This record gives sequence, structure tokens and C-alpha cells, in this order.
Amino acid sequence: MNKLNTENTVAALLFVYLLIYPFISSEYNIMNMSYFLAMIFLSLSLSLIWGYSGIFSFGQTAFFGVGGYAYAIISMNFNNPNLTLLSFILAILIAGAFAWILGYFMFYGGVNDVFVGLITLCVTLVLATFMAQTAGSQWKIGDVLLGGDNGINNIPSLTFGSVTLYGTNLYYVILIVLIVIYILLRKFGSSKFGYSLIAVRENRERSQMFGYNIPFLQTLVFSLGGVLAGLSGVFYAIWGNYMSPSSMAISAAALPVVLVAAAGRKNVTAAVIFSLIYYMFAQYLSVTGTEYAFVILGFVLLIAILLVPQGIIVTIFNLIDRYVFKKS
Amino acid sequence: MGELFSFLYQFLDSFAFLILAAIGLAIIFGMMGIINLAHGEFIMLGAYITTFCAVSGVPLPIAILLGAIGVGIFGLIIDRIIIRHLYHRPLDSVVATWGISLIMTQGFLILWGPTLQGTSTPLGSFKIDGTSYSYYRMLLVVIAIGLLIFMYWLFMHTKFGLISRATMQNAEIASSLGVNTKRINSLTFMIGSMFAGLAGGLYAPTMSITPNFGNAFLVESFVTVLVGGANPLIGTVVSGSALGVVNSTLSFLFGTFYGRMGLLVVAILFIRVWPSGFSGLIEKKLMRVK
Amino acid sequence: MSDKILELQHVTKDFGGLRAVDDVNLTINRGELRCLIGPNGAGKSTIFKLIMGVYPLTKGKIFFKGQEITKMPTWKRARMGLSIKMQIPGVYGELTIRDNMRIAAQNYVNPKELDDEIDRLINFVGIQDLGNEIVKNLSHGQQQWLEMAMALASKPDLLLLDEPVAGMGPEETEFTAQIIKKINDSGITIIFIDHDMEFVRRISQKITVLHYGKLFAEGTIDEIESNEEVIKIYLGTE
Repeated sequence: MNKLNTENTVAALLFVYLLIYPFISSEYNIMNMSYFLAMIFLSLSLSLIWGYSGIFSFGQTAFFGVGGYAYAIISMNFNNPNLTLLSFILAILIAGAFAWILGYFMFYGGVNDVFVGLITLCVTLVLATFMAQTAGSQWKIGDVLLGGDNGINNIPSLTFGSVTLYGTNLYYVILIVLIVIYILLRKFGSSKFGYSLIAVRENRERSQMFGYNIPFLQTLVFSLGGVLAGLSGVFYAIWGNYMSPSSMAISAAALPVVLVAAAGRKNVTAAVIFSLIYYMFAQYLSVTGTEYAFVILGFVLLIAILLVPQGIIVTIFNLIDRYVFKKS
Repeated sequence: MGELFSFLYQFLDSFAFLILAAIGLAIIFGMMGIINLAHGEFIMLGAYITTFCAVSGVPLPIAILLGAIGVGIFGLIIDRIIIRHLYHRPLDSVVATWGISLIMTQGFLILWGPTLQGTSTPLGSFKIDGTSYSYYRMLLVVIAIGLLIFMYWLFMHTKFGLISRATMQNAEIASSLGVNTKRINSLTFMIGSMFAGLAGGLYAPTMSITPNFGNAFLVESFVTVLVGGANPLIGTVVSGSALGVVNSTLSFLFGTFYGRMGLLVVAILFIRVWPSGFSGLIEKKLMRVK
Repeated sequence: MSDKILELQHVTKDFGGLRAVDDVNLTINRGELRCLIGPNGAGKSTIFKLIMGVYPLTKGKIFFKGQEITKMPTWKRARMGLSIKMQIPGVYGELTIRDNMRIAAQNYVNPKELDDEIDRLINFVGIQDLGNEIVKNLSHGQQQWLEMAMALASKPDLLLLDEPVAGMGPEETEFTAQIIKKINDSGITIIFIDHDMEFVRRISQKITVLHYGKLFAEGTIDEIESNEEVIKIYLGTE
């Protein structure tokens, strides 16, 4: 099969660029790029569950928050740099478990389509509302104060032996994990599990009659999405050493949906590229004024849904494929 | 006795809020299958128009009406340009209306800054047992109920109402019977927008006027509509009442945070058990009676 | 091992106030090629959906291969050997022919043998010359053949065919008749629904007639065609 197409070429070029990025950029830029890469996992989590299985979730930021807070609480209670890796792993698993429980609650109850979006939105808001009022000193888990709207500060960085992940080290760890997950998600598409998810997406009722246990598959992929979103949250907490409920506000909840929809939800590469462009653009504009970033994003969305409902980046890929690589 | 009144007041206040916030959204969702995530911003626009007028000397009731009409016209324009491509595509309408919402919130922030000089709550207050209550907010309860009665009349006793309900049930058949479904849909979106503008105008004197004005209404209105189900009238009333009880009881006992969380949690549980909302439940009962 | 592969006992299904299936008792034996006929709205497709588990029963029980499946979820019934070709083509329109086959087959066929098995089934139903087209671009008849191939991928014990020749011309109908006979000859029990009496006569051995959700008559094609009551419900004023 001819693997030379726009998508693969662009992906390869992008990752090569990202790998050499630290050699051609300032420390400040490397730090920012680490943040952008950490946030891409959030978009990927939605690409996985919405793109592959058609599950429309506003809840990914909830799992982001669970992951980040879980890492903060566990690592700060351990208070031991050698245990930060363990905290990392536990935090992701907790995010996944939480997603499993929510998924079970929804899918085994036959909730689907737009109602999944609503329930997950409500869950995100419940979490955000709850965390925002945990300001008092009675609100703590173990030794760690939850901090309400102010959040948790001084979250420890990830440490391997004598190496604390910071700056360029942290950048490469996040990038390598991203590349690995990206490749897994791409390979996924042609696996048995990947095809099962497509069956879930394309026609739930009919697929049951081909032997697919739909609620189980939905719960499973939803929980994997939770793990990915939790991973994003943990990396964020490690990067900024800080976590707050604002990451679960309603605008934050909608952002992944919007990015993935505009990029082209069925394409993992598109999600990566568009998310990266957005976060870089928003960062650039935050120096001049973020309001414009959002206005532009708003227009981009509108145009995307009206003119190219299958996604901006995907459409560009297809166009280049047709004219440059001569594929139909 | 004072406690009882306090609770009753909170319930009615909550009920009015939910109804007024949700009615515009319910009409649009129930009739057109569109989820308008810019609903909060439509409410905000109503508040801004009303405030601009009131501060310029226009009497408040007229200012509020202007707010409603202004947003209605705005809604008509939005429908013509954007919404009419998205009828009965709920997921796509979510993304598109989110875009509109972003443009409006940030646009207003750029144009008029983070806050606007507002008007104060009219009619003053009275005291029972040391607690103050607002006459205006009680007036809103009356207006909310009046609105429901108006809607009932509109949908059950006018030609427009009949055609709308037919279109809602089955657009294809309505169309083949000569109904201009596109125009009905545009009209519906306009009316839904007007109700949103009205809500914004009514609450403008009681809240600070910021570009995020709509956020206070957004979640509650969505939850009310989705728990209510597709029937804009029955669904909204029953849902507004039920959620109003939950919200006011928990707020009364534990504080507003818990009131809000309780509302969300109950909504989650409810949708899980009855995804088609109260409307679905009630329709099932009606079908059996036939 | 019992001869009965499918048994419906006092099966009733209500939709709100409408009784779509009314106290139906039906027994199908292994290897049969049974036809369900009846006027529109008689409940035939509903019975298929009840057998597949798409709707829960209001009353009654269903047994498949001797095991009660009344409360069993659809996917488990499929894994037990129950397959269906639906009235409105139940194919994945946005996907290619091969992807459709892959989805239908991958739960039942070894990954190593998957491609060959897909080829075999595509050839069996005669759509091998269509390449790897997107399924929504196929004709109605071609989609029905594809769906039959998909239904066969699980090597079912019982195959349900809902109007397998709807919209087909005489040659296509004949071809489909041959395929169905071949499937039945290979040991697969088949129940099918159709209105084309020529087609029914061509392939079925036994016929069950439904009317207003009730079992109305059963017998061979000759018995049914000469049954005055049956003639009345088709031609009479209802």
C-alpha cells in the first residue's frame, strides 16, 4: 500500500521539526512548546472517542482535571521525589477508572449521541463547581489542601533518580510520549479493535447484530479517552507545577470539541496539527490580546462546519493528495 | 412562618429563572432540533440592548421590549446566514453556535470592555422577619407564568401554533401540505431568540452587565430543556418546576454551590433514566390513554 | 440434540397501545427453508427483530438451539449463530465493500484467514466485479447481496432474510433464489419474508402466514394458495 500521501508526509516533517526544535529555539520557546504538546493529548483523547467511535463528549477536561489533581494530591502526599513516577502512573489510572465508571453509567443505560455530550458537560461542571468551593482549610486529602479557586501550587516535577524533568528534558519526554501515542493511534485504525470502534460509530444497532458488544466497547474506548485526557492533565501539572479549577470551566470544556471538529474529527494527524496551530496562535496573541484569538477561532469554526464539515485540515490533505500525489 | 416564605420565595425565584432562561432554547431545540450554544450570548445581547436604552432614558419596560425585539431580529439574521444550513443536525449546530458564542463574547469584550454601566433593580424591596425580598423578582415570577400562558395560547390556539406543531411532528408531511417549512423554521428561530432577549432584558437590572452575562443562564437553561424533552411547553414547565425544587431546596439548606451541583446531578440521573425527558414520559402516558 | 432450532412460545409485542405481534407460537426445524408471508403490517419484520433481540418481548419466550434467549442481548445471540439481512439494507454506506465485510467477519474468522474468507463470500454472492467501491454507491440489489455475504460471515446456524429480492428484476431474483438454495443446502436454516409469490414458490418448502400480528395459517405453498381464508385477507376489504 502506498504510504506516501499528504498526511504521512506532513506528520513526518512535523515530528522531525519538533525533534530538532530545542536546538533552534530559546529556553522560553521550548517551555511554551512543552505546554502546547501537553495539551495535544487532550485533543487526541477526543479524536479517539469521537473520531473513531462517534462518542461526543464534553467531559475530556473533567478527566484532565482529575488527572492533574490526582497527580498533585498523590505526589504531594508521598512527598518523595522518587515516587513521582508512581504518582504519575496512579494519576492516569485514576482518570481512566473515573472515565470507566462514567462510561458504564451512561452506555449500559443506553445513553447515546447528544445526551452523552450533555451528561459529560454536567459532570465537568459539577467537578469545576465543587473544586471552586474547596477553599477552606477543611478541604484536604491527606496533607494536601485543595485550594478552591486558587488551586494547588508547588506541584512537584517528575524525577528520575537524580534527574528532575524541566526545560529541555521535560520537552523531550512529552514529545516522545506524544510520538508513541500518535503512532499507536494510527496503527489502531487497521486493527480489530479499531474496526470494532468504527462499527460502533457507523451503526450501533446493526453492529450488535454482527456480534459487537456495543456498551462494552463504548465504555472501554471512553475510558481510554479518559486515560489520554488524564495524561494531558498530569503533564500540565508537571509542566506548570500548578493546577486549578479553571481548567475545567465551560470554555475550557468546549475547546477540545471545537478544535477536533474544525480539524476533522476522524483524522488523528489533523487533530495534532490544528491543536498545535491553535495553541501557538493563542499564545502569540495573548501578548497582544487573547480576545482576538477567540474571535478568529469562532469564525474558523463557523466556516469549517458550514463549508467543510469533514474538517479543515482533512480537506487540505485531500486537496493536496488529489493534485500533488494524484490520488483520487 | 418567615422560613416558609423564604423557601417559597426561593423556589418561585428559581422556577422563574429556569423558565425564562429556558423557553427560548426549548422552542428552538424542540421545533428545529438545533442546540444553540450561543443562547447565553443571545440573552446577553438582550441585556446589553436593554441597558443601553434604559441608561439613555428609555423607560425600563420599553427598554426590555426593545431588547427582546432586537435579539429577535438578530436571530433572524443569524438564521438566514448560518442556522438554516443546520436544521436537525444537533452535533454540527453545537460547533457552529459555539463559534457564534465565542465571536459574540469576545467581540463584546473588545467593543465595550469588561463591564457596562447598568441600571438598578426597580420597585424596591420588603422585609419579612429581617430578610429582604425584592418586589421585582416576584414580578418576574408573574411574568414567567404569563409567558407560559402566552406560549400555550400561541401554540394551541393560533394558526401559527398549529402549523408549528405540525412541522415539529413531521416536516415532510407539513411541507407537502403547502406549509413553507423554511419560513416556519426561520420564524421559530426568531421567536426563540426573542424570548432569550426578553430574559436578558428582564434580568439586566438585577445583575452586572458583562460579556459573560449569559454564562449564568447557559447551563441551567440547557439542563432544563434537556430534562424537559422535546415539547417546549409541557417539558419546560415540568422540568423547571422539578429542577427548581431541587435547586431551591439545596440552596436553602446548604448554599448556592450545592444548589447548583444538586441541579446538575439530578439532571444527570434523570437523563440517564429518561433520555427523552419529561416530554417523552408524558407522551408515553398519553399514548396509552388513547 | 433436538430438531428444533428456533421456538417462539406465546410471543407478544406491544408498542404503546398497538399490539404488533399477538401470541405467536412458531417452531422452525433444523435445515428448513421457511417463508413468512402476510399483508403489510402483519408483524413479520417485527418478529425478526424480536428474534434478533432488537426489541424486548412484552410476553412469551424465545428458544434458539434449545437455549432460552428471551433476555439475551443481541450481540450474544449473533455470536450463538443468528444472522439477519434486513429489509432496509443494513450495510455501512460510508465504508467500502471490503471494510463492510471486515466488520461483519472479524468477530468470527481468524485474522490469517480473513482476507481469503472475505474473497470467498464476495464471490459467492457475485459482487466480485464491483472492486472496492463505497457501499452507498451500489445499487439496491448489490447492497442486498453484500448484506447477505456479511450475514454469512459468522457461519450462522439460522439466517433471517427480510425481503431478499425486493426491487430486483427477474434475473437478479433468480440469481438470489439460487444463492439462497445453496446456502440452505449447506446446512444453514433459513427463514425469509417476501411478497413475491413466484419467488416463494420457487424456493420455499413451508409457509407461515401472519395477519394482524397473529399466526393465521401454516402449510406448503399449494395448501396456502388454495386456502380461502388466506386469499380473503390478501384480497379482502380490511
